[in-house]
Amino acid sequence: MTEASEQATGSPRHKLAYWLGTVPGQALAVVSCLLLFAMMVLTFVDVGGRYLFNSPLPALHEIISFTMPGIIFCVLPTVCFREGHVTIDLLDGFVPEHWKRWQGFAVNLFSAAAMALISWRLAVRAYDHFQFDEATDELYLSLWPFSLFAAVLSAVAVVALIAAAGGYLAGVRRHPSLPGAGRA
Amino acid sequence: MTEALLGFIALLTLSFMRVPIAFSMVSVGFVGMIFANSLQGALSSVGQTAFDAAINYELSVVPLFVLMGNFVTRARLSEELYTASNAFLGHRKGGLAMATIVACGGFSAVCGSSLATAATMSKVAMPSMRKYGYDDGLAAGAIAAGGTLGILIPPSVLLVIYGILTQTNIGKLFAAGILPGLLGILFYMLAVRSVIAIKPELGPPGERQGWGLRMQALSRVWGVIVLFAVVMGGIYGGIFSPTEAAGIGAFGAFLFAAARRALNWRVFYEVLLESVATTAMLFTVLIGALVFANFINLTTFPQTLLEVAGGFKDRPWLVIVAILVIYVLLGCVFESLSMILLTVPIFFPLVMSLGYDPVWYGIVVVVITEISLITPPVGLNVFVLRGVLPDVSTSTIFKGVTAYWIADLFRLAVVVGFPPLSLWLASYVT
Repeated sequence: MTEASEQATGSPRHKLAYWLGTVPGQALAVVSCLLLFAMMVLTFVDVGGRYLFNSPLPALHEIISFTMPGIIFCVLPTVCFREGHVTIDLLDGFVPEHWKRWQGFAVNLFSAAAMALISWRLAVRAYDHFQFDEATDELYLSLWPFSLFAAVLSAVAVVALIAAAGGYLAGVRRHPSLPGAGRA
Repeated sequence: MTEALLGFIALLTLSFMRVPIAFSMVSVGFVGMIFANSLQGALSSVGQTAFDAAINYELSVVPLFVLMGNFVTRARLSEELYTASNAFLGHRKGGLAMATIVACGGFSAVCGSSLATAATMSKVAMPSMRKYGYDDGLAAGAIAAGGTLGILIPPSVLLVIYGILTQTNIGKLFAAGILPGLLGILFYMLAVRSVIAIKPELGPPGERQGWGLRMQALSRVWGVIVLFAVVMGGIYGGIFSPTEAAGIGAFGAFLFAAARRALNWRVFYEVLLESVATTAMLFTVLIGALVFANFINLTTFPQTLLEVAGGFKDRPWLVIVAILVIYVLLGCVFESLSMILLTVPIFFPLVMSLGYDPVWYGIVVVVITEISLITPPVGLNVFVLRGVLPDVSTSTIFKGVTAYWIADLFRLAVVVGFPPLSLWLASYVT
């Protein structure tokens, strides 16, 4: 099931589910891409600066460490909506066709619950960071906005997973799709 | 001990039901921690693990190497590699298959992923092998097997993950992967020779090319050589850290792709998106595996394993053989990264307690993972080829890959039995 064909079918309610699954995710994915590109350029400039001009970028270590959650959590909703996570599909041949829809629904709902757990705990972590006024070592940045962002973006991923489950319920998705993005 | 075993059973059951492995591990790990410790402990562990895993300078090497591999793939460096190796080997019996393997090895030197190596090389090598009437199985097998070198010959995403999990020097691991990787190329070429010796009709010789053409073809692979030299030379010589090397490698690959006009805005965005999506997927599995490992460490399982292994102090190789058997079995079910993330935290302390070298064990783990990439029923590299070559059946590819699989077993035996092969080059990295 491609995203385009999923968009073409379905009632207005399902279009809303589709919108919730894709649009915020796509916008965030652009942010994630920009962050990765920036990380690449910064590393290059840093090494160049260090060896050519003897002046590396200050605190780059920390900047890169804190770019990582941005890259990961911003693209997570897209990965979730596309069902791009690593799965074992060995039994696919043995699952009867008419069960597959319900399998897809249940699996995505289960994943949403697991993701919600992560999101909730990250939010609690953010509250702790805020309460104890925790900061980074070099730049003295407050930690809580980072953990809060991670929590909020995980929550968007939960919505994306629920939207994917909704796709199965509505019948616009029939089979759990093949694992998406490349693997190591 | 019982909790841990129940945990493994629950994890397998959920995963077989098609729950993403990352979410299976998070949920089983979480519930397990509630039983093994307390609800409060389990709750705080999940939040802390997710946050700490994401904020990690060392791990930034992962997206950068993935990005480098994706740029290199689009830069069409694979074509030149194949043309060059073909110019030297193509005229021999089975020569195109051998050329494919050498080109895969070359591509692995700038790409840290096995699946990407296999997918890219199949587009270049398969049409030419078909033109010369190569057997589909032998040809596709060469690409599937050659592709596995991607995770052994540095840079390698899996070695990075292993290094971070076990606090082992990534530069040393990269250096250690070089000779076993070259040995892999040699053994695969011997596998082609053996097959051709039995059935010469499977791989007829191609055209012989003069030395002028050979040198010309060789001179075109300078891009790969420069990228590899900068990245590995930088790490090897202690000029940059692995993250810096990955950043420079990615930037260099970006410049190559741009200079060859292989990038427009759409392709550029696709490359970035593919890289971040792969990164997010890897990290979700990582977070899941860490939560699961936290649970396992709360049980008596690791201690029991250590005690059992302690009984084999005078014959430690038996423990290694047992671990290898477990890897082969797990490799039939799990994909490479999940397998490593799941097993390394458990087996690493065990192997260290027996006095083995962490760098050597990393190479052993990666070589056995390479084997799992071409072992049925999962054999991911085979499925990648199946996607690129829809008219070749999965069983044809699995049959064709058998000779290479046997070659891999020999290589594993050499790597396990002769540690200096891995450790010699690593000893020069500071």
